[in-house]
Amino acid sequence: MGVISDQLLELDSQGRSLIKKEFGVQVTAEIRIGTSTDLIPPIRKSFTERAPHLVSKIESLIPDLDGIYLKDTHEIWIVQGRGEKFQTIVHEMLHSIQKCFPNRENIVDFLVYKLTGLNDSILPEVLTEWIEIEKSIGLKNVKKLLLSEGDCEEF
Amino acid sequence: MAIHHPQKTRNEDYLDKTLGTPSAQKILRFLVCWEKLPYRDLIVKSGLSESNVYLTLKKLQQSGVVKSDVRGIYQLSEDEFTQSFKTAYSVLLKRIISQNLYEISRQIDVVSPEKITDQLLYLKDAYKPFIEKFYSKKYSSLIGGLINSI
Repeated sequence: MGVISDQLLELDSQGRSLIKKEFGVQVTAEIRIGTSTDLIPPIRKSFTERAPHLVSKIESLIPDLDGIYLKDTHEIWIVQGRGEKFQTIVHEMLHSIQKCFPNRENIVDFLVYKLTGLNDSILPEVLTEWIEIEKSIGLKNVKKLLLSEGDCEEF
Repeated sequence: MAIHHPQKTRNEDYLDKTLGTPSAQKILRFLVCWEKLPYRDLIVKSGLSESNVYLTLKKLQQSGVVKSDVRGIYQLSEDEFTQSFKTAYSVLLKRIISQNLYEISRQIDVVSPEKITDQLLYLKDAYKPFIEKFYSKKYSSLIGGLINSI
């Protein structure tokens, strides 16, 4: 496991402040940093018992991770170098406070876009869809959806 | 009255019969994405038979769209037509990948993790250079979503 740099500490602090301000919720997940190899044990532990037959396939995907929130341990893992970006940190922090299920991914992508103004990680299809949803129910209610039990796209 | 039937030139005939075939479209798709590919990789990625790949590559080379500077390694030619085709096809390929990733994002909490895993692995195997260049963040977030859905 790596040492958290001052830069990452700063991004972490900014992310927590932003989410507290926008959602009124404190992010409590701990942030950890490591290489893709460091991520293998905690990720493997999070699902091996439930799906041992998927271990090798999923391990082959781990090098493509920038970061991940692990709900089992309530930790945010950031991949050294590639994951040390504000968007990635905010994305994983949003997953850490998210209550809605299913359809977890696109609502988070949209909220990252709205909170950071950065659109290079949101698919055009998702952006188009969620701009319409925001027009229909308002951003305040999109944020409420994230924090509510039930389908993230049930509005 | 004599009816004039314009005769296609040899080059036009090759383009009509080679570029438009499903096999050619598959091979060209991978060459657009990967820039250069060995013969064996083209067979594996396209899922076409070896004889089909062999014949299609031969026709594509004869039409001047594909070249092989190094034996067994294939790439698109540098002529104006092929490069324009590459630009257009890159846009199309990005849309195909984006659509695939969007479908996965809609399925990730409702379809079996086995299926999602295989879909993600297929995309990586087929289109890794484009995923890394244009969709790495989205791909990463879908892996995270998959792991947390198990």
